[in-house]
Amino acid sequence: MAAERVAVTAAPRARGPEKGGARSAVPRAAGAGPPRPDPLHTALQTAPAPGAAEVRALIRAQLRTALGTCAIVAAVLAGLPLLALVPAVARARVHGVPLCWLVLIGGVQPFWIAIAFRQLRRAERAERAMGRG
Amino acid sequence: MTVPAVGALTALAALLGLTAALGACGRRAACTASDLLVASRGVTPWWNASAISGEYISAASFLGTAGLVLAYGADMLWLPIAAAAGHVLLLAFVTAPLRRSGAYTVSDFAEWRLGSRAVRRIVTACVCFIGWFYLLPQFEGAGVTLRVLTGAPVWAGWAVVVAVTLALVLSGGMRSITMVQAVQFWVKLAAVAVPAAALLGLWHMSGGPGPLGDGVPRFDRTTRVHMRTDAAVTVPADVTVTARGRVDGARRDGGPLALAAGRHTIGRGTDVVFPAGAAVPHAERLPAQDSGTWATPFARGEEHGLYRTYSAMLGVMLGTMGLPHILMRFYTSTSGSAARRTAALVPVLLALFYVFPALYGTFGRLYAPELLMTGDTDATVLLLPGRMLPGAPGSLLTGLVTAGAFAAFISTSCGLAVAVGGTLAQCARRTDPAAFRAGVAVALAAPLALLPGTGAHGAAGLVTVALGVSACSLCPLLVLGIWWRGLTPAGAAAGLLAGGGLAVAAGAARLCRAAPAGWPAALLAEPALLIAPGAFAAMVAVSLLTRRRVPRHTDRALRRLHCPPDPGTGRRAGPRPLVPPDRPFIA
Repeated sequence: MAAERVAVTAAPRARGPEKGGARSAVPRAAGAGPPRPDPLHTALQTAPAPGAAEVRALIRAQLRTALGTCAIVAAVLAGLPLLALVPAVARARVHGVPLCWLVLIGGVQPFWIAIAFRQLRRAERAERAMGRG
Repeated sequence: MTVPAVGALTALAALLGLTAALGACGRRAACTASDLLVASRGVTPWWNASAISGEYISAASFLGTAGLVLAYGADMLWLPIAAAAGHVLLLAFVTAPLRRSGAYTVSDFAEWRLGSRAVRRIVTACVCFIGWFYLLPQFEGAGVTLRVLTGAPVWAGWAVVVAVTLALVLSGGMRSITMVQAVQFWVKLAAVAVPAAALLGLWHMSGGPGPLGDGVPRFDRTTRVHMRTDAAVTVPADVTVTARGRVDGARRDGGPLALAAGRHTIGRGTDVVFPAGAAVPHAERLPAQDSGTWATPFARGEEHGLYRTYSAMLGVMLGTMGLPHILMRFYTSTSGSAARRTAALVPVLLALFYVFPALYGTFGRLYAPELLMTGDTDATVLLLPGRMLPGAPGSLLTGLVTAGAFAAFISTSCGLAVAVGGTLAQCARRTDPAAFRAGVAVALAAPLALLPGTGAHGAAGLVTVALGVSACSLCPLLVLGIWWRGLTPAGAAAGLLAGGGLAVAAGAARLCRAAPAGWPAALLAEPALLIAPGAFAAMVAVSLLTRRRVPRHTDRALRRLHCPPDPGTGRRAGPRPLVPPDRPFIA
């Protein structure tokens, strides 16, 4: 099964992804299968497409990054309510305002921003690594 | 007409004028440049992220969250957190590959990835249900806004939103939608931030009570409460009021009346005047909580509170990943990596906005607590400026908030109308503007027909239903379609039908107020924790059973989804659109 797939993907690819021109004037029926090669860019056909093994490695690397982000998000979202249930945490107060209240209003969103940029950096790094390879 | 009403109507007129001007400006641009250039020119990440946040902040975020915080307290602060988390996952799993696919709508993506018209039809149905559930609170919010501020009947607000949406979408103003949406995000942010700053300053100067008050909410001054509908309220402590109208079935004509602690019914149109310092009666469905309980999650001991919280968070988070109008916006980015940078900026903008609903909810408890009695908690943001700051400055701020609220209703409605209308037209394989217009009409007419029958649910509750449907249908399809080779058309169809169908059924039951108790109630109100994993499981299981029918072009498709462009050609316009760019609804 896997060998068969490799055979399919190893076939030389006519057009690298994202090389198609949005300028193509030929209207096509919506979503009628993968796009045909673009006659305007036949010159690009000679550019070597990344090998099947490389593509698989990239997808695996990106999936690992995405799952890592997902795990962090899930851990925070699953953990915070449990933490809020701990009596000591629920009773904690800062200047008379419950700690939970402050964390929920202002503490989590900055963390999401940090996670988003971490994900962005890692995904771009994986793509650059593939470009160099 | 009252002063705040004048302020509100002026601001509404100004907002509509601004929208029309931006639309006209965009139309001129679209006439001079070719449609193709408009479609492929691309928008910078900041601009597009503003537009996405603009479309995401709907009536639920703008009015609903503050109302929920006022009524239920800290338990509701999980929702904005989950919404922003949804955008992080959208960035991680969906944006760049979806943009590289070149698909304009989710249904384009589904048909291209799986090569199946049947799957496209099911996705179209899911998009319609999500759009309809999501439009309901926009219309309802508009009705509440105009009613509370000007006393207009609720249908006036519905009519304004539908008319403006139709005019914008059908006049071709959608070409300039990016500009309109982006500007409206900053309008919305200013509309909550400026009054909030004024309120904070005022509260600080007046040396007001502690930020959370002490004990149960109390009227800070002698307050006249007008009951718009028949209602049952719970009075927390004996109090002497004056009442004009019907109380507990007996006619009162303005004399003093002793209300004992406990349940009382108040007739429609009754005015009740409470003395300063009296504890605020609560509408029967809202919990009465002291400040500590209110500000601490899970403190009010709600039945199955932990399950409800987890399920609501999962529904909002996964639902955000599958919203058709948000996904469409990434199409305006030039490339997959630009789309990813756009998505990374969205949590920043949402974090800026989401500080404010909690602030308004907190102030609402101090300065507009009678909303807990009338049950109109969605009006918290609208009423607070006028309540804390009487006179012209107050009505100016009220006007600002009104403009922001209508910006929220209109931008979300436009995005949804375009998404649903476009998806329907594509499904019918029609490219002419007439089909698109018919689709838009269907998108707007269905929720309008449902609206009179749904009763008061609150904007945030209704949006949660829409997000639940999205979480149980489109989210699994996108995640598995982008990352898993093994997805088959049959698997996708099974997951969509099972997950989407169950979520729609639960949402419909919730709208029709089928109100059982205990676990069934919790499951019906927040079904995502069961159904969403079920939908994933159904897709995987049926795909494994039909694994011989994995589409042949799967490997090519995944390569296109995940490989960045060659550095030498990376500056070219994005991938070839799967939809001809002369479609009337291209953004």
